[in-house]
Amino acid sequence: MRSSVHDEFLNETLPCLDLVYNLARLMVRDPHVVEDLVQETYTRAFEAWTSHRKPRNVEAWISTICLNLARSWLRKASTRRELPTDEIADGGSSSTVESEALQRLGSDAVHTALKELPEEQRVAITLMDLNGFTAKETARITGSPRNTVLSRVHRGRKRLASLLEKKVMIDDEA
Amino acid sequence: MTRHDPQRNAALYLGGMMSGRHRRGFEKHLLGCESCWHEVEVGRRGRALAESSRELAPQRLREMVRSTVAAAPPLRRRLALGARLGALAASVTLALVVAFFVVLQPSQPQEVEVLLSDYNGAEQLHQQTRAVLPSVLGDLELVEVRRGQVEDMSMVVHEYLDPAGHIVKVYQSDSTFPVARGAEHSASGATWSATLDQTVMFCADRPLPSLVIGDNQREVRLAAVELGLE
Repeated sequence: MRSSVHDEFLNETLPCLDLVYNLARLMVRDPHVVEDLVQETYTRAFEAWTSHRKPRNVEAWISTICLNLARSWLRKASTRRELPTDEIADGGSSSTVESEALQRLGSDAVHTALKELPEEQRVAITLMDLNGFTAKETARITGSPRNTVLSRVHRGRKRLASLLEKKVMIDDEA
Repeated sequence: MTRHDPQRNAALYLGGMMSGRHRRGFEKHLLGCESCWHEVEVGRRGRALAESSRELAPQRLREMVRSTVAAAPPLRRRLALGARLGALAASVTLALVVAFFVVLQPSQPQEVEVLLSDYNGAEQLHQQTRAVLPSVLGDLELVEVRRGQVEDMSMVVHEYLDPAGHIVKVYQSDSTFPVARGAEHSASGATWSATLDQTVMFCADRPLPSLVIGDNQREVRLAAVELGLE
């Protein structure tokens, strides 16, 4: 049975669903786990909503909850050895490949490349580029200094561009 | 610009963190600097790629979330059933804890007591002075600088405020701060931290004896990191 508390909570937080979903799907690989993570985020957020004061910035608040749950899940998963550790070298990006070639890549390829980034870079990029948070807000959500966030985002973007350029070259050769 | 660091400058520029004057200066510089131009160009490309992977949540998930939340009882109501017993137990526990601390625990060193009192609004350092620390530490902004004497220690306090209203004060002195009772030392022993009545303290001797006090763990840590105290 829904009360006014439920309605108020859903009215305030459901507009953030795309944001939470994008964050979750870049933190974990399994689509079922993504759905679980999103639902768990909303369950925890609702509990907090009914027991504490309302947050000032709902988007940042619910992102923090999602991020903490995802990190917790990743920690547990890594102890169960369920995750591949696919760290890659932080190579520079050559700009020899035309940008049109990159456009041939589908969003799946971009999504896959994003998942290959180290977690800190992936989180920073997801919050700033996919979800539109400022560096200041991202710093608050992740608990990192603002300059560190900017550095992570920049290195992540470079690495993302480099990974996709390599993929385009491999596809062209094939 | 004070130093030529293409990665840093590109990150600041793309992150919208340059002031108007710096931005205009950097844009002029970009036209003649191959390495900065490359950094900005590849950063923009990476950002566009990342943005292109944004997706809308599936409608099915939206409905699942609605159902999950609708089925969840508000926490206040769930607690209401055991509220009286819970409140009684909490009161007894609180009374015992207070008694323990009041009767059995020794008090804090005098300097720490004074600084906690200063942090909580009873200003103990009165003289206005010039800032020696940065005016911005992450999202903390400097609002006031004072100096004065606490016991035998002369010190300066920089008071910062974050957008949520959390106050962080950074006390610095030429002498080492006494260790608060109940403090925990870092593995290296170079720093200590303590939480007293929801007030968080972080202390380091290098590069300068510094004690950071705040009511928010994250902001205290942030200030400490920004000041290179960790």
